[in-house]
Amino acid sequence: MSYDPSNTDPPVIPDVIRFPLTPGIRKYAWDHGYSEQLLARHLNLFKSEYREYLKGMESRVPTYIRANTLRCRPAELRKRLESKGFVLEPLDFCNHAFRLDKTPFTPGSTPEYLLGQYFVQDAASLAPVLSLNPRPGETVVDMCCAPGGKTSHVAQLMQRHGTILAFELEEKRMRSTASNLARCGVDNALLFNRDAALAAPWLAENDVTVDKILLDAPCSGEGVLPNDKARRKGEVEEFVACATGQRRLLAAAASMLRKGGELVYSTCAIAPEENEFNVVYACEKLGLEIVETGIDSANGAPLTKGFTEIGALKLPGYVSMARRFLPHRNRTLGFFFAKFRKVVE
Amino acid sequence: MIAELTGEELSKMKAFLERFDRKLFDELLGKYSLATIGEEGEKTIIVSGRETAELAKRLSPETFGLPFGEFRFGDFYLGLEGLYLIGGMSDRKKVILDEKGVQFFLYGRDVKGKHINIYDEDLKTGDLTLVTTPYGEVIGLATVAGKLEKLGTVIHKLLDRGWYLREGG
Repeated sequence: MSYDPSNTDPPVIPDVIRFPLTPGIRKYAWDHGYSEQLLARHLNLFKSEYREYLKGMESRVPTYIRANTLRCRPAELRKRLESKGFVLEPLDFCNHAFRLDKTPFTPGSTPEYLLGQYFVQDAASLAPVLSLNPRPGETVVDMCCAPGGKTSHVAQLMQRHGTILAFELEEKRMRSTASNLARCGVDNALLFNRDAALAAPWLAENDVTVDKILLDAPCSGEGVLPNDKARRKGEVEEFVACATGQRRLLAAAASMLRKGGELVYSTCAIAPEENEFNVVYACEKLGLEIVETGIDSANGAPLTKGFTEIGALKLPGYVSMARRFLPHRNRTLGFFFAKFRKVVE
Repeated sequence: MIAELTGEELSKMKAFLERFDRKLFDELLGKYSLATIGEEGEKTIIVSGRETAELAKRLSPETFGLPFGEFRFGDFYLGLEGLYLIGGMSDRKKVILDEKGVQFFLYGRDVKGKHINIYDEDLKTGDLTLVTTPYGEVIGLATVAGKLEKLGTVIHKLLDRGWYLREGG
């Protein structure tokens, strides 16, 4: 059986994948507070390593920080924090980020934090910005920007040259986003409280050419299970709602991007409906081609390739160019990202 | 609403900045584009690059660039990022705290003389002063409340970057 993303205007989402429930799954789900179908799908997706997978999802992941090079030099930041008793280990895939192996107190309250010299964020969430590789002088859209971590990361890679158009739909998240951008010294971002999915015609009317887009889409968030037990109760029907919204945003992104422009799509969901299926939708329906992310390992372990076989379902081979961070392999939260280039007008 | 600063607003801002260093205002205008955002009575002064400012005028975002300060009912108030920027442009009117003094100050407290490492000898009681870390980064604004070499409370906190934790959201 092959996945067919046809009839996608409006986007039609396939039924959620359902896996058979066994007595063992039912018991484990009951004992550990999972919804049965959520557990069943995770065990089937990661069947050869499901013990390690579950252990990873049930253990806390380390804390990570990104040095904000708009406000400090990473080596000096490391020295200053270590003088306060923190122990920092440089990340292998990002030369301006660290894993905190010892935190004598919360890293969100130091003078260096208040000066905007670093941002506390999971290591996996560095990947979409590194993969997008924003350059000075470009116009970059961040479609779902709160709380501003990735936006400020984009700004530091642009070295203050060029412009970021940052969108956030939820009004209540605007204040903290603006505060984070100010604290980090971001002076080249425009912050909009509006739906990025409706922005394409408006940007075109205003002669704005978009070179790159970051779409870290709202999602079911199963990837943050290590930090949030409440996610174990997630119901699979939620994936359909999330995937519908994600396709709406993907279609808008494809529409606002210039030909040859690049898009990185990411979620902290595990569900293939929100990840691999959306990659197929983007490639088959939106005039985007998937390209290599440029990031293949983290914390000494390879990233997992996008799934091309999910139960009996087969997806196109190109989906394997997408990448997943997994707690048990990469010591990060669960995370998915894929990079695209626009090939048609 | 995004607008250019009026002549009166520019004059007020210039007069305030000259309390720290005469060259600050011109240097700021040379480096950044200035605009206000908001309505009469409460406007935020924004600094940004010229390209960003031009795009903001066309697209009317909720906010953009860096908040430098505010005009509240016509009066100019310097903000945290304004302080940080001018601290990088001048060495005048500064007190440099030790690590303990930095902690006190960021908790919103006044600071005693024993926590002041270095200070500008031109500072007099009642003056406004920039307050910095031992590394020279500006963490806030204070008034000089007493002779800086004395042991009692010598700087009185007006504004500090601990705001980002307490109220920044």
